[in-house]
Amino acid sequence: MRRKREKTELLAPGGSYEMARAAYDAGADSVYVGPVGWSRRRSFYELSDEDIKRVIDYAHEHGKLLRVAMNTLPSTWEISKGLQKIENFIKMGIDGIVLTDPGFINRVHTNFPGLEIHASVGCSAMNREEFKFYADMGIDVVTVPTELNIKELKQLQDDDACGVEILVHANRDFTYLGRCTMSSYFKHVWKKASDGKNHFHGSPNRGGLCWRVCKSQWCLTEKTNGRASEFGSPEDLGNVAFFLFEEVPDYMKMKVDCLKIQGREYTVPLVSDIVKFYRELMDACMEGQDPTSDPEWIKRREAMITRRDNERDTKTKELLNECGEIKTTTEPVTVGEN
Amino acid sequence: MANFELSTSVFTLSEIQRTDISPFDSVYLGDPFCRDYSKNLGENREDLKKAVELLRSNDKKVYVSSYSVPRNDDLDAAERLLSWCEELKVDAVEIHNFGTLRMAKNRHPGLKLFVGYLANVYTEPTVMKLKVFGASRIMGNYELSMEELETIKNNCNIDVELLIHGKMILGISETCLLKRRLEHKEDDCMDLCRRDFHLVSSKMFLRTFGRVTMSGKDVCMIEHLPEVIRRGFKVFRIESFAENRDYAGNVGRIYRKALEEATGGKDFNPYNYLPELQKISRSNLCNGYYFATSGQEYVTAGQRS
Amino acid sequence: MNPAVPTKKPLLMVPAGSLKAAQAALREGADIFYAGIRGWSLRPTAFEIDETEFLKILKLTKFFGKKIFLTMNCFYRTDEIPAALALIEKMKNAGIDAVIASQPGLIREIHRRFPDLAINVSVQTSASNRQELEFYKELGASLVVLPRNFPELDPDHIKKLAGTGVGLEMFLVGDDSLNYDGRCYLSSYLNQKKIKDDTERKYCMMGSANRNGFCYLMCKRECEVMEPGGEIHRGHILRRGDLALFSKLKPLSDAGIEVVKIQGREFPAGMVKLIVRMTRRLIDSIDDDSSEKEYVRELEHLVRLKQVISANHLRLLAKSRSSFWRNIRPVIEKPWDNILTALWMAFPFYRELRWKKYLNEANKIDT
Repeated sequence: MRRKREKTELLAPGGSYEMARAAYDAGADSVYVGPVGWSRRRSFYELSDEDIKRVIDYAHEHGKLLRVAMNTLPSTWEISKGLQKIENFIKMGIDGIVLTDPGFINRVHTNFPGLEIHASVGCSAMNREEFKFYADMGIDVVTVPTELNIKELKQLQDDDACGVEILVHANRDFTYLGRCTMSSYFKHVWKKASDGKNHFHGSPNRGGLCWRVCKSQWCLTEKTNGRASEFGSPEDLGNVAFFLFEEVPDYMKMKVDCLKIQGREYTVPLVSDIVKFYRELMDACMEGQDPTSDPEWIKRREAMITRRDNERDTKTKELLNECGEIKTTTEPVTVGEN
Repeated sequence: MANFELSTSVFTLSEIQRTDISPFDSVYLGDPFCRDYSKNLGENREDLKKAVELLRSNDKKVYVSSYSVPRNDDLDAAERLLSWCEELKVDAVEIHNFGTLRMAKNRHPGLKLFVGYLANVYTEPTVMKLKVFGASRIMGNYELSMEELETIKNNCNIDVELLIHGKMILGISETCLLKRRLEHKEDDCMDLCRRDFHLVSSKMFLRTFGRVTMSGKDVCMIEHLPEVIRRGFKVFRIESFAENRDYAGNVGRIYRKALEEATGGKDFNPYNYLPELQKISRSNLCNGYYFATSGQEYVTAGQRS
Repeated sequence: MNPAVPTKKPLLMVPAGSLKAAQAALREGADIFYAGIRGWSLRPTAFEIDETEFLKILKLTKFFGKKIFLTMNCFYRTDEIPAALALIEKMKNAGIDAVIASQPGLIREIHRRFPDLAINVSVQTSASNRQELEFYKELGASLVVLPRNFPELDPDHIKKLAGTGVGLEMFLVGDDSLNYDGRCYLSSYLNQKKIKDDTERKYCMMGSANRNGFCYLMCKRECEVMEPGGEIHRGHILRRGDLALFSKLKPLSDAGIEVVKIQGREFPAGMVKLIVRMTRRLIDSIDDDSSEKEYVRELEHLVRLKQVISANHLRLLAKSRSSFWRNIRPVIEKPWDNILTALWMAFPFYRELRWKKYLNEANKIDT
C-alpha cells in the first residue's frame, strides 16, 4: 500500500546497525537494510534478523521508517522461505520492502496487502508500460534506472502508475542494472548458508556480490583474418559513481516520492556525511533557496566525492583481486627494519 | 515430425538470404538490442514482410524479436512492430520487456507471445504471472541452472527454451561501447558491431557487439544433450548473429543430426561432433550457468554423472 | 590532537583481543579499540594478535568510523626501541589513532617523530598525581590512564586532577591488583625466563608482568599463610578483588573522566559482547537514574562470570608442573565455581585455541 507522502522522503543505506543509526541521526527519513543473503550486497553489508530488529526499534523510537531490501532474484525453491522471512519482518514492524522479481512481488502483495513494496533498481523498469506492469504486480514505488533523463522522469511522474524513486547517490553501470551477468560469467559459486539460502557468490542479480569486472582495464581488439589489432589504450568499460546536486531542486519540485542514497559498502562516517549533505540540501530546497550555485555547497560536495572515490577505488581493486583475474597493484606498507 | 524445435536468430533480410537455414525449424527475426542496426527487421516493414514470406516458403516458423530495452520514446516503435506482426500473422513475438508484454496482451490479444532471456525471468511465480499475460514460451535468464529451469518447466507447464550453442549475452547497455571507444560521432554507425571486436583484460576475454557484451566462449551443450533431453527440454536455440555467415548453418546441421540421434533412441556419441564444433568455434567452449558454475566453465559429461 | 574530545558522555574503550571480539564489541557500540601486536604489549602472547589480524581489526574499525589504539606498553630494552618505533611507524601509516605507551623515553621519542600521533599513557606508569600528569603532557601525551588500584578513585580526587590538559581515562572493568601497576615484581620473582620471539626482534621475558605481561597472577591465588605460632590462614589473602565501578560511572564522568576502559583481551568474544553491551547501555542512559540500578545489577552478574574465568584461568595454570606451585599450593575451588566453570566450558567459543596456547606457554617453563 502506497504511503501518503507530504514531502519527498530521503532514503539512506544501512549496511550495518551502526550505519543505519548514523543515517537516522544524520537526518534520513528512512533507511533500507538487507537481510543476510537476500539483498544486492555481499553479506558483510547485510544484517542479521536480530540486528534488523534493533534498527527497527531505533527507527520507531525516533519516528523514522525502515525498509528491508530483499532485492536479489531468488531461486524458485527459495520463494516460500522468502515469504516466511517477510512475514517475520512484518511481525517485527518493518515499514516497507524492496523487491525485484515480479512473481515474488505479486506473491508478497497478495499475502501482505498492507505492505508498501518498492521495485528495486534491478528491475530496470524504464517505460510507462513497464511501470503499469509493476503496478499490476503490486508495486507502489519504482526505483528508476539511472539512465533515464529528466523528461522521462517527468512523464513517469505524471502518469503516476507508481511512485518514482530516484537514486541521487549511486553509480551508473556499464549495462542497465539487473541486465548484467558479466561478474558471474567469470566467477560464480553456489554457496548455501546455514539457513538454506543460496548466496550465489559472484552474481550481482542473485547473490549481490559483484566482482566489478567492468572496472578492470579492457583492451578493445579486432580480429581480422586471424590477426588481432588493438584500438586505443585499455580502460574500464564505464561504471561511474555519481553524486547528484544540480538536479535535486528539480526533483524536489517534481515532488518525487523518494530520493535514495546508495552506498552500503562505504564507511559509516562517509555515509553519515552524505546523508547530512542531502538532508540539508533538501531542507534548503524546501525553503525555496537555490544552493546549487553556492560555492560553499559545491566545495563540500567536491570534498565528499574525493573521499567516496578513494574508498570506491580501493574496494574495486580488492574485488578484482578476489575475483582472481588481476594481480595486486597496491603495495603493502613497507617497514624500515633496523 | 521431430519432437524438438531448433531455432536461431537473424537480424536482417540479407543475412537470411545468405544463411543456410535448412537445419532450423524456426527463426527469430530482428535485432532486439539496437534500433540503429541498419536494415533491422524489427524496424523495417518491407524487409520483414519479405523475410516472413521467404521463411514461410521454406516451411519454417517465424518469430519476431522485439526491442529489449524500450524507453518511453521507443514504445511507439514497439507498438508498430506488434501491429506488423499481427498483420503478417507471424507465429510468435519474442518479448524481453514487461512493458511491451503488457502492451501486446492488451492491444494485440491475437499474438502468441514468448518471453526472452533479457526479461530477467528467474522464478516460478514470475512465469505463472507471465502466463497470465499470455506468454507461452520462456527463455529463463542465462544464470539459471538446468535444475531450476526443469522445475519451472514442469511446475508451470510451459515451454522453456534453452541456448544450446553460441555466445551468451552478458549485459545490455544504454549506449554503444564501440561508438564510444572508437570515438565515432556520426549518427550512422556503419554497423561497427558487425566487425569482429573483442575485449581483453588480463586473463578475461569477452566479445562485444556494441550495446551488448557477450561471453568470450561459446556455450556448447552437445555432450549434455542426453541429459537435456532426459529433463524434457524440447526447444533449443543456437545464437549465431555475432559469427561469420557459415556458422549458423554448420552448427545447426551438427545439432540437428545429434538431436535426431539423441531423441530417436539411436546410439548417440557426442564425441563424433565435439571436435568439429571446437573447430568452428574460434574461441573455447563453455557450459554457461547450467551446472551451477560460473558461466565460462566447461563441465564434461563425465563430471556430471 | 586529542582523540578524546570532551563530551558529556565518556567514550568506551574496549579490548580487541581477537577479530571476533572486536566484531562483537563493534556491534555493541564501542568507541575505541585497543590491541597489541604479539610480543609488544603487556599480555601473555597467546592473547596478543599478529600484524595481519591487527590490520584486519583496523580496517573494520575504520569502516565504522571508530578509533583504534596500538598497545606498546612493555618496558622495552634499549636495543628494542628502534624496532618498536618502526612498528609504530608502520601502523601509523596503516591508520591507527594513538599509541598506548608507558616508557617516558619512548613517549617522548614517539611524540618527536610522529607529532600528529596521539599518545595514551598506559596504566603501567601509575600516574597518580597532578604533577605526573603534567610531566606526561610535556612529553607529548594527550590521554592518561589512572591506576586501577588508585585508592583515591573517588570523584572528588579526580576533580583535582582534571584541567592539566591531558584527558583522563580509567578502568571501569578490570583486575584490581595488589601492587600499583608497573610496580609489581611478584611474578618475575618466582619465575622468569628469557625467550626470543618469532621475529627475533625482541626478547620476551616470560613471567615478568612489566616486560612481557605474562603474569602468574600470584595475588589472585588462594594461599596458606603460616603464622609464627603455627596457625594456618587459608584464603584469598593477597587478593583485592575485581574492579567494577559501574555504580560510580556518573560521578566519575562528571568529575572529568573522558574515557572508560574495559580490560580483557583474554576474554572470549561472547564475554566481551556482554560486558560492552551492558556498559554501552549504562553510558547511554547515564543521565537516567531510574534505569541505572537494573543495569548495574546485570553488570555485577557479569563481573561474577569474570571471576569464574579467572578461576578457570588459574586451574589451567595449575596443570602446568611449574616449581613454584609448591610454594603456594592451590586449594580446590569452591564447588559453585566448578559448576559455573563447567557451564562456561560448554560454550564452544570457550574452547578457543588461544587458551591451549596459553597453557602450552606455561608448560614451556622449566622447573
